[in-house]
Amino acid sequence: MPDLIYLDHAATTRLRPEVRAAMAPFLDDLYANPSSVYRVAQTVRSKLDVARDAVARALGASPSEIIFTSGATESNNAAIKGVALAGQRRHLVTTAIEHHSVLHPMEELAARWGFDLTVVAVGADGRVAPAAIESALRPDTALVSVMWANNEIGTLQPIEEIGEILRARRIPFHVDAVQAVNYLPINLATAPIDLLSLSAHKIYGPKGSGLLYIRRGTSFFPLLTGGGQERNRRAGTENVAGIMGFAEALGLCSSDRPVAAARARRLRDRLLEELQSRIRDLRVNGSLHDRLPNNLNVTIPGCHSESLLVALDLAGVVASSGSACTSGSLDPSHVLLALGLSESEARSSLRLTLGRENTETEMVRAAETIAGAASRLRRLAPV
Amino acid sequence: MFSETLLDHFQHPRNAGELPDADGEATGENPVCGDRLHIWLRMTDGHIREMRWRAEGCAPVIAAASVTSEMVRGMDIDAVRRLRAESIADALGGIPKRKEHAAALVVMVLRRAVVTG
Repeated sequence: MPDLIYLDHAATTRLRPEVRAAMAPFLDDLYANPSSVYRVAQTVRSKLDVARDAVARALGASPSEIIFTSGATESNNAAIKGVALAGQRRHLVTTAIEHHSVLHPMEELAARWGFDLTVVAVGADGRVAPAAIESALRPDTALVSVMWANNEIGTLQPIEEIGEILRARRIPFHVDAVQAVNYLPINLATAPIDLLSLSAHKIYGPKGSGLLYIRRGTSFFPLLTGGGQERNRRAGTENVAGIMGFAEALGLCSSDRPVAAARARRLRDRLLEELQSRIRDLRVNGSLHDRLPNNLNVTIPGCHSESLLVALDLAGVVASSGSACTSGSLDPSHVLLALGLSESEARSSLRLTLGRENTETEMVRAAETIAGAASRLRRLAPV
Repeated sequence: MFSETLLDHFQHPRNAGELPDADGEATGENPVCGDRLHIWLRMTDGHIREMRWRAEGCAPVIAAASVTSEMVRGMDIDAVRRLRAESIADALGGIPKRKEHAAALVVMVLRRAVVTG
């Protein structure tokens, strides 16, 4: 994608060359099944063990607490269904701004398995109050799931405070940390979290590779059964190349994090400044303070995001909307509606998520392009 | 994927704007996806002489309004009443199925505008 200004890193990221190099041998000579007994297979097994150790170390976890999955959707489904179906408790709690891979399994458990579901509202700043989670709890609450950082507006949730409340009540706590891990250090040795989902392709790793952390002692009913892989918690031959890529990407992400976060924040703030100086009535959605440093989500009233995205694409800037309209659904973003935006405002919103390859020059060019397209579309709009 | 013709009309919309001395005028919207359209018509001798429009919505709505403003120039009003969304879609080189409502909105508002004239 030459000359393209890519501002959609919350959707996916470009594979890092170091990650590709780490994966390559396992797409070539080291293709043996790690469960086989011969020497080359055992070589693959030992490389897999090393990768698991490295991933566990990066997260402050034990290797036995990590299960590799096909990505965050599987991890979220496995965590929610795996804990809910492992016990007798019948109440689930989550928030209104979760990813659909959390909301839908929760709704499915309620509709088909007789669970009660409490969906906790968030404030206009896109944050959930720990007290609101606490007041939703019941003696039979089986699981609480709260995302660390929102994928649309980047707002950060008070995970530590919520986790402490749940730990005191011995209620398992699942955290979708897919968007957070790029910029927030995660130490599961101290964080009051029982299950945590990650995805490789959001951190410059390959698609189709993710993990679920399950704290030792957490009751878990496996989603996939068959072979005994992943200590009987996720059957299926390991995606060896994907896991090796994930381990490499997570290692790089952990070492780059402080610099990457500061850089992203500088670029994001510059982008916002440039946009605000060019576009009247531009509004930022969600707290700017408690937010991922690479995320900007803005409403440009009178400017339908779907046509704005097409105009930007034609001008060499790719971004995303808060709306799922382009993916086939006509519904405005459930996240933006949960903040209190009207449907019209939600449909006039733009998500810009920065990454390691973006530059200051791109921020200025992107702002000029967005402002130009927005102005043109506003001139076309009915009064 | 949008056709080259659709993208051209989206990028370079024809006849956009208002018509102060309009003989017919109507507005409409698709509440499901938030598209809004306003059409003005100048009509004489049972024919459309000029159509102008303003639209807010997805790219196909803007392109559909634009291409329609060219199609209906000089058209007999009875023919305008019979204009079908499929004809607009064809003139744009096709509209993706999930976006067919864009042409339907133009047809609906255009028919209303003709009636007011």
